[in-house]
Amino acid sequence: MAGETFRAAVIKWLRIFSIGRRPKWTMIRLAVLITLTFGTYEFVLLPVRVVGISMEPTYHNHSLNLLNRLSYVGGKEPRRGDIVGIRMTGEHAVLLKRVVGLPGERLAFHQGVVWINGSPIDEPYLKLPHRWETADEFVRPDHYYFVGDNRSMDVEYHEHGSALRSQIIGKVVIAGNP
Amino acid sequence: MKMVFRLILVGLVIALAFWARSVFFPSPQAEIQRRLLKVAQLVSFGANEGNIARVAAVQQLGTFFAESLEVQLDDPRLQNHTFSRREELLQAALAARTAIASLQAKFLDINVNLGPEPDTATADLTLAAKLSTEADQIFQQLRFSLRKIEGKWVINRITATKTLTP
Repeated sequence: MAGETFRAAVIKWLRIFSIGRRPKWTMIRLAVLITLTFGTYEFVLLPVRVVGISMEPTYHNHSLNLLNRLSYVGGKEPRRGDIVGIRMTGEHAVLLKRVVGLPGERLAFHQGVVWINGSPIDEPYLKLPHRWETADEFVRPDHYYFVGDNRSMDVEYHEHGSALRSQIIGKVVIAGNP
Repeated sequence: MKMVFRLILVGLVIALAFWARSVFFPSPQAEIQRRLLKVAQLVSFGANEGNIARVAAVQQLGTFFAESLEVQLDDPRLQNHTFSRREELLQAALAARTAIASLQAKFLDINVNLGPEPDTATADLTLAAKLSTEADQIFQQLRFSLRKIEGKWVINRITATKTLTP
């Protein structure tokens, strides 16, 4: 008799533990949670894992970051210094780079530092040795110029350049390092 | 209740009809995507691939390419590769399968555009490749040009493209 009571109590406890005292409310809560999670990751946040060293030392290889797709909605435009995700042919692989040039600007690298319209910009994130030298380039209208923080790499191994505004997915909001 | 059941049944029949149409009469875009995914599958190989399987995969790969083709992968990370004939490409594919222990290739985000000329198309995609010799995956944007020959879409040009332009 005592064994049966104990068994019934365990089953009751397991039921409460798994689906709660009020299963109907548990199901509603679960549905809301699933909807919110799906909506957040479908329309707001995009998880991105870094592959490569072009953003060292700011973002390490294999670090997991989140892009906010809503960063530039409602008339907000990318600003110099923002780290953004740039669409390749879709969103399964994106480039993670820093915005350094804005539409219409003249840009060049001297000793690895970005010069805009003939003047160097302040780049406190450059921690590694940098010696790139490039000729002047003009950033076309509706384009932005992007580069990684690791300019100790050979310039031909480091993808940098301009892309259309529409290719920017969003800004990095949460950065995690491995 | 009977009405609801009928409506559900009609919905199911319509969905089934759409599915059957996409399977038996695929759009050119869907057909090209399917063939490109098959190319990625044939390019991939594991460490334990036998000689017969290796040759068979390369031969099958050949059926997806036009005899006269242009492959230009002038990217420093992929090394420079230029081919102008199908045989050259297949020989290189066979040599690569011998030299490298394994390769897993995936074509991500395939965007197909039909060309202005009839029976021509281009497909922009991102290659994600994992080589046994490299610690990390390689990502490269590629453009495939295709032509429909004897009812089949075959690749006649592959070029490496850049997301960021200088």
